[in-house]
Amino acid sequence: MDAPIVKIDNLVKRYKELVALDHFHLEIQEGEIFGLLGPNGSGKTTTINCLLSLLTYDKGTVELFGRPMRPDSYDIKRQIGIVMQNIAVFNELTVYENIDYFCSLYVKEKALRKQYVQEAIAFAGLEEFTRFRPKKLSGGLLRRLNIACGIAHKPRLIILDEPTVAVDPQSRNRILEGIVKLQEAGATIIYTSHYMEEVEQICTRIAIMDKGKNIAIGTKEELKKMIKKSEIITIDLEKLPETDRKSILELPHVYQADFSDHRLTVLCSGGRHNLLRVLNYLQEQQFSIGHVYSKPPTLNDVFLEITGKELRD
Amino acid sequence: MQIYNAFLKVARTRVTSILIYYVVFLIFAILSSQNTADDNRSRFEASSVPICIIDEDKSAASHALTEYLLSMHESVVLDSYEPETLLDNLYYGRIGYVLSIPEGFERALLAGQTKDLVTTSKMPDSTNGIFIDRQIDLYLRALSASVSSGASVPEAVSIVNTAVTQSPDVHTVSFEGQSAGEDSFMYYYFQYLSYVLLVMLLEGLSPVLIRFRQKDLRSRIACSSMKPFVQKVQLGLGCMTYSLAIWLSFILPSFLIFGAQQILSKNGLLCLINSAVFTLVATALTLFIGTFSIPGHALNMISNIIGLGMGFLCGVFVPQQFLGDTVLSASRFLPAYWYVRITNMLGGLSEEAFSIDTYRLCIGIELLFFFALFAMYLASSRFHRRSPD
Repeated sequence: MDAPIVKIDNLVKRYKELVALDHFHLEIQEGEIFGLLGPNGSGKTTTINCLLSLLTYDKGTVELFGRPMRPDSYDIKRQIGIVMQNIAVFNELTVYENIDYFCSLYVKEKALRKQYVQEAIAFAGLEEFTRFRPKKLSGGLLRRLNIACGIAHKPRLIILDEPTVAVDPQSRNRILEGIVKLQEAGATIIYTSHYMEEVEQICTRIAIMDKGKNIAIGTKEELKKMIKKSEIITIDLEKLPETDRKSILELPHVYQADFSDHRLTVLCSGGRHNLLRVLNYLQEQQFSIGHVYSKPPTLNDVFLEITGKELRD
Repeated sequence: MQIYNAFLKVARTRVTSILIYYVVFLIFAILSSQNTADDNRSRFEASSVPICIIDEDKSAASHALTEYLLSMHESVVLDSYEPETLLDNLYYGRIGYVLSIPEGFERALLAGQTKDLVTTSKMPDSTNGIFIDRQIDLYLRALSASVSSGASVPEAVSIVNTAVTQSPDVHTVSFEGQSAGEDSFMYYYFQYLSYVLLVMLLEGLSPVLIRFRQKDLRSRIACSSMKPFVQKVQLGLGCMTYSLAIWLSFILPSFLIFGAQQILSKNGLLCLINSAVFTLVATALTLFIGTFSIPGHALNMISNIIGLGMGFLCGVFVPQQFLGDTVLSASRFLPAYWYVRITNMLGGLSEEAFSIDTYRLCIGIELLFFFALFAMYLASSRFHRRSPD
């Protein structure tokens, strides 16, 4: 295995009494789309800020591209692109001028920069808006401009801190597709979000954070295997006597069965054909069956089982 | 020069908001300077009303009253004293007041009568008429009081005349070496310049600096591979360019308004140096204020407080000569005081005669203000960089 492109070891960051990062560990390989998933206040942005040396930390080490990251590591910074959680552009400059300005902080050669800026504009789909000032852009276009400003200089490592907050579904899909394209072009991506669906959709590996700690790490499949729950079955029923609920609970792999508001929820751990078994039982008992749902566990279920709370609490 | 170029682009968007100060200043400076160059500024004169007095009593008391009024007002002699003629003259403004002293006036006065001794005519609600009514009333009351206390009419007239002829003590201040007219126009221009320079820099430059200090933009720039020293140098150059442009925008028109000969004269050049040094001070103050994340409306308020405060306390709008000692003592701690002191001294707008040593002292103190404010800017900038957001 190659040396990790990002290595965070035993990182501790305190804000007075509050421990924002608590002996945090992380390793990211080149070419990954690595998701940092956690609720608000879990330490995602603090991790990013420490990674970029925007914040000092109390303990631990941060290495990027195999070298220690310090505020004066300009060679390393040259290879990083950052897309902030908040829109960080100049309202006084046009779309083109903004991208050109942020690109110029990394790329001095004018002709090359012009080419990069054009490519970033095309990537973000802002061709029609190059002369617009940011105030004239919609929320989705602004987010795309924010991303274009961060990636125009073609960095090897791109850090996207909640880039889809307050974005319409169309723009969100476009942004997510763009991130995958950046990875395909060779960039390594660190993607922080509290939207589990996005993280599940694009990330090759995911770290789940809570209270400054890395509570689980792996691919989404690996994470889901960590928990007992493997299938959630939901069936709408007119009624279900307690004796039948207990009978369902005794079916193979079923470890929980609840009935409330005319809905039966069955949780299964492992095994196959769980839904079929439950449906067979209900038909045998001549219950009238309404809607039937079966879904695998989500990252929220992973988070819920590990921490006892919802991701969006 | 990426940050420098972006700085100027952002600064350019602020130009329209400060343009109003520029236009108003030029108009205000020219108009007020022309007003103060008027010849009338060195004398005071009480207002005089053309009056017509018809004395039918021909007594010592009526003569005294007539003389008293004519000592302040202008006598008008008419061809006819018919009521219609008097009314016509009042209506057309040839006379402002008619006093008729009836026969038996003195006798009534000696008898102790104080009311309805004379009859008067004036335009309704005429301020001048009310003013003369009051003068007559005061004179007759005084005369009546003297006569009642046992004085003869000539004695009473003498006593009252002495009392009422005392005029208010009005001092007209004239400054040594003052050259009224075209020359002083230039000094007023440079005097008011301190206010407008300060406000234009504060309102034009501070928002740009605050913009570059905005948390997210600052973080994004801090993440870049550009060294902080290079960033600061480029921002500093941007500030200097902006300040220089503002200064030149006032100095170049001054060549057109006053002519190159006057601006390039010894006093003109001393004014130019003074304004250039003050621009440095104002820039340093702007840099310092720009280190705080002040919202736009608050910044507008702060710039007005600083600009107008310095203007009034330091003698930009009211000459230092007329400011109280306490105010002047306090204003010595403000840079505009030393700036204005120089323009006053050069233009003869104060009693202080020009001396090159005093000039050097004032410039030196302005430079000290510059260094102090610049040091405060560096300290504040460092503090804000270290403090967590």
